Formats: sequence, C-alpha cells, structure tokens
Amino acid sequence: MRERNDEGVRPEAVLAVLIIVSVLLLIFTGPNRDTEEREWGNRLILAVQRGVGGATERVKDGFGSLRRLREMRVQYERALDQLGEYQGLERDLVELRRENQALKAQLGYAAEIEYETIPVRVIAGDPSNLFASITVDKGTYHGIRRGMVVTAFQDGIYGLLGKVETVGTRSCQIRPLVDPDHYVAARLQDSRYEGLVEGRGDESGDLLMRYVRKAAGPSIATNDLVVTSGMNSLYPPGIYIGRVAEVRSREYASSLEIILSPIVDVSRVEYAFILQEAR
Amino acid sequence: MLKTLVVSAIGALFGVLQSTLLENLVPGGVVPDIAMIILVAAAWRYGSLRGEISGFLIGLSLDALSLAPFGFHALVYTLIGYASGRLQGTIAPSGILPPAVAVLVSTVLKYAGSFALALVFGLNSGAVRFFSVEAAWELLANTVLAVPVFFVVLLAVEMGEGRRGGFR
Repeated sequence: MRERNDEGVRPEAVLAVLIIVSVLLLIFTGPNRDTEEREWGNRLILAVQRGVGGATERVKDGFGSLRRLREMRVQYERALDQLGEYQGLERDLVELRRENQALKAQLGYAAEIEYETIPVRVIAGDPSNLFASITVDKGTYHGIRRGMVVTAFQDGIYGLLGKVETVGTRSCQIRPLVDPDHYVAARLQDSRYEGLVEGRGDESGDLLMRYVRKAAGPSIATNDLVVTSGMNSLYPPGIYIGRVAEVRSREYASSLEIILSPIVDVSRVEYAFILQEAR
Repeated sequence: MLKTLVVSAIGALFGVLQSTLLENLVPGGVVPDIAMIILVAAAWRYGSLRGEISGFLIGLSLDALSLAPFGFHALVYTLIGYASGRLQGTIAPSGILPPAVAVLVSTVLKYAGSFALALVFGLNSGAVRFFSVEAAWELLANTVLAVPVFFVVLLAVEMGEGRRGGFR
C-alpha cells in the first residue's frame, strides 16, 4: 500500500512534478539566464530585499554611531601626527606632478579617460552561501543597466569589482570579479604584456591571469599591478584589477599563469561605483 | 494549504533576512541557513507533501535573491523538504540530537545536491562554493541553531493550532 496523505495526494507524485518543473526551469533559464526573462520576479524580490537591507543599514548606522565617534577620536590623534609628515611630502608631490605632466606630454599620452559614476551601497549578499553575488541599492530608475562596470575604492585605490548582472527598478545584483564566469582583458601595468583575467571561485578570492606570453616572465615581479586593457571588452582600460602574487610557468604550456590578489576584497565592500558613459 | 503557504512565506522572509540582516551581523558573511532549518522543522511536523511544496517555494525565492539559475535552489530545497517530511511519524522532532542530526544531514544534502546539479547542468564548478571553509562554518552554525529554531517553530505550530483548533 503506497503512502497517501489525508488529502489523498501521493507525496511522491507531487515530488516528481516539482522536480520536473525545477529541471525545466533550470534548462530554460540557466546556467546563463537572461535578465529579461526573470525581470518580473526580480523586481518584487529585490524590492523586498532593498526594504529590509535599507532598514538594516539604518539600525546598524544608529548603533554604530557611538563606536564611530570613539574611532574618530583615535583617528584624529593619528591624523595630527601624520599631518606634520605629509607637509614635507607635499613639496615632493608638487614636483612629481609637474614631472608627470611633462612626461605624459612628451609620450603623447591621451588625456586620462574619466567616467561618470553612480555611487551605490551594498545592501545584501547571497542568501544561501552557494553563489557569490552582491545586491546594491540602485537600479534602472537611477540609470543602471545590465553589463555596466562596477568599481570600488579600497585601501586608497580604485579597483574593479565586477559587472551588473540583473537589474530591478531600485536595486541590482552584481557578479563580482572572483566569479569564474567572469573574464576581463587585462595587461600588466609596467611591462604592458596582455592576458585574460578570470575568477577562481575559491575561498581565497584570488584571480587567475592566463595567456601571458612566456617571454614576459623575467619582467614580472611580485606586487606588479594588473589593469584592464580595454581590448575587446566591456571594461574600459586602466582600471586596477589586482597585484601579482605568483607566477607559474609550466614546461608544456605556451603561456604563463599568474595568480593575482584582487585590489578589491569583495567581502569588505560597503560602497561601490557603477561606471556610466565616458565624460 | 494555508500551512504550506505560511511556512513558505516565513522561509522566504528568512531568505531575505539571511542576505541582508544576518549578512551584516555574522563575521565573514557566512550566514546560517535558517530558511532551510525552518523548512526541515516544518516538513518533519507536517509531512512530505507540505515539506516538498514549501521547499519548492522557498527555493524559488532564494533563486530570485541570488545569481543562481531559476530552479537551482527550488530543486535542492524540494528534495530537502521531501526527505525531512519522511521523518514524520518516526522520531519526535524534539530534544537535541534529532533536530541537530536532521539539519546536519540536510545541510550536507544541500551542498551535495548543489554540486550534482552544477555538474549535470554545466554550471561552472567554481561558481558554486561547495567544499570550503564557509561551507564548514555553515554546517556548524546550522547544526547549532537547529535546536532553538526547531523549538520556536514547533512552539509556534502548537500555539497556532491550539488557538485556532487546527487549520489546513
């Protein structure tokens, strides 16, 4: 005798139906699902997530005020000490700026490209710990569209964070650079050798730069900076990606593999900047 | 039907809280999967049918909240709901050990199911964080939280059914 519940429905039959529905959803929407197809669901759920995320931030801000006041006092003392040091450095900076401008002019560098940015606040992460995703508090209403490039400022430097993956009216989800489905055309800032950077998806958060010519080996050093190259890519050139942590050269391979430490640590990001059109 | 919808709504609400409030409160951003623990407790209490439907609906809400393809969490949570529901009428979902073991096994099932799905559907294996320190932390956190969450869920069920004389 098969098990039936008090409504006369066999759980196994419903299970089979639900599995089939789930599999069909997976087949038709994944793994590279289309944003438009799920826009209807996203708008509602992202709106709820935005509401809860915003409330959380306000509560956190309130409780954090006292702690921040104490921290600011310590920082103020420290800043006074550093001020004296920086006054000396300022003179050097003026000289370096002048020298930099002269060198740029001599080398015929184009003026540095700058972009309009939309500042956003991180309001949510992944609910199940399985995927790397970030939800921020602005969406189509603020001019954000799928595929836009996201940067963040951390430890005194602007770095690439990822790209906009799905967009709701007032919030959107970002696929961070550490995701292995993410590819960025890049180059070593000093030696100018090119390669392709991808996420490794592991807990270290490291990135992998492939297809760098073996000839580049001697000119690459630990902590060298890697930037976007802008070649055949949605990413504009010159955005910092990471620093060289390790260079791997295999005898059978025709190119180098470089492990990079990302400039932006995704787990510490609170604010980000979404790039709009060039100014 | 009402029970299924209530469990699904509460599970989905905790899905949102996991990605917002708990994400901020828990160091390192590794949050316990309270939505899953609620599902296991409710499925154990109400049986496989309600467990699997609630699991499906909770999973769909998590799919919308994450970058997972639609159906990914739905399938995994449906299986967890069904398996937990099979425990109805065997052991009582009370005490310390039964909830803790059930949630521990469910968490393992969640990660194993996700791994299998990623393989079958060609998701980039690195896109899903299976075997990591974060996964181990979540396993521990879920197991520890199983007892209090079970207690609250079962207490709420008793109070709801006692006051209303039972509802479907």
